[in-house]
Amino acid sequence: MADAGNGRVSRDQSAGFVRYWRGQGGGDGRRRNLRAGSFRSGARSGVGRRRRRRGDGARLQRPSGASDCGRAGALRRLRPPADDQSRGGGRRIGAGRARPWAQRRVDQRRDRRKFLDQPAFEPVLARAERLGAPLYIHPGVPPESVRAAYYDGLPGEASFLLSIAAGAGTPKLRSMCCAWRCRAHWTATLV
Amino acid sequence: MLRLALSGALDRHPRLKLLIGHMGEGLPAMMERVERVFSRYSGAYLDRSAARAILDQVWVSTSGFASAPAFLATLLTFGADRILFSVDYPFGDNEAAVDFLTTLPLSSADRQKIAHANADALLRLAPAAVAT
Repeated sequence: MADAGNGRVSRDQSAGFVRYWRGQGGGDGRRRNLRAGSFRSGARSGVGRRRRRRGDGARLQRPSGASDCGRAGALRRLRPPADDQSRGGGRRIGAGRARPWAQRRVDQRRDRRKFLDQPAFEPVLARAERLGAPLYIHPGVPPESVRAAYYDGLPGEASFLLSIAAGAGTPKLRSMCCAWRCRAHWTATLV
Repeated sequence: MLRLALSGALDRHPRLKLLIGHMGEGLPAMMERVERVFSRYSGAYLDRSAARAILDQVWVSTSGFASAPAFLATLLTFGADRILFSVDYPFGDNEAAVDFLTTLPLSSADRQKIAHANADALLRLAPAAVAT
């Protein structure tokens, strides 16, 4: 825990992390790796390996870098059919060079228009409850309508940053209004 | 989180465990108001008040917050058994997060809970897996 990954933090920040995160250049293009949870999956900390070695729920303990397997994959597969049908028909966000993950991001935005308490997600909650696996809930980028109503009109990157990091200033908004996305617990950031 | 509580989703899944980051996403400071505004619904269509349901089923990670006021609100609202240390890579300074944990005016027992014991229990980790 001595270094705690700060080398990577400073490297990303110096590369302009906002642009990197938004996929507008900057950084080293590792956003997909970041999203796949290479840091968080336990692959580096050894948590996943140790859990696998224990044989406790072994088939659920694959690293989350393998995107459609294990518990996270099981949860994703439980998504309503409408989401699957929407794949491939979304609108591209932003302009510029081709970004393979842009299409997937649109689909995720559609998902974010739903709330976890809606009936479509009942199987997800039921499965997590049955597994005794906590759901890690993290706010994502709000839908366009929410962003336009609450965050637009600020200079520079302020609108975007406020929309994704509004918890500090508008906890009520963030807690009440923003859509949530969920992850299986073992992608959580634990040291 | 409030939607999950107010919709009855937490009542339908009373053993569901939820983990939220960023020192509670502002909920600790708002919990008293949540209780006051929404307690009327408990017994009507909710088994528990929204605040009760959240306190029963939600764990909070620090997610790189190194703020004493935010931590105190979380500690006083959720208690030392429900707080999990975490960093906020790559948004936050990991060393600052570690320094914050090690310098908090906590008992050794509570610091151990927050540092790893709560995570051991919640995520069902082997103690050896986090003793680094």
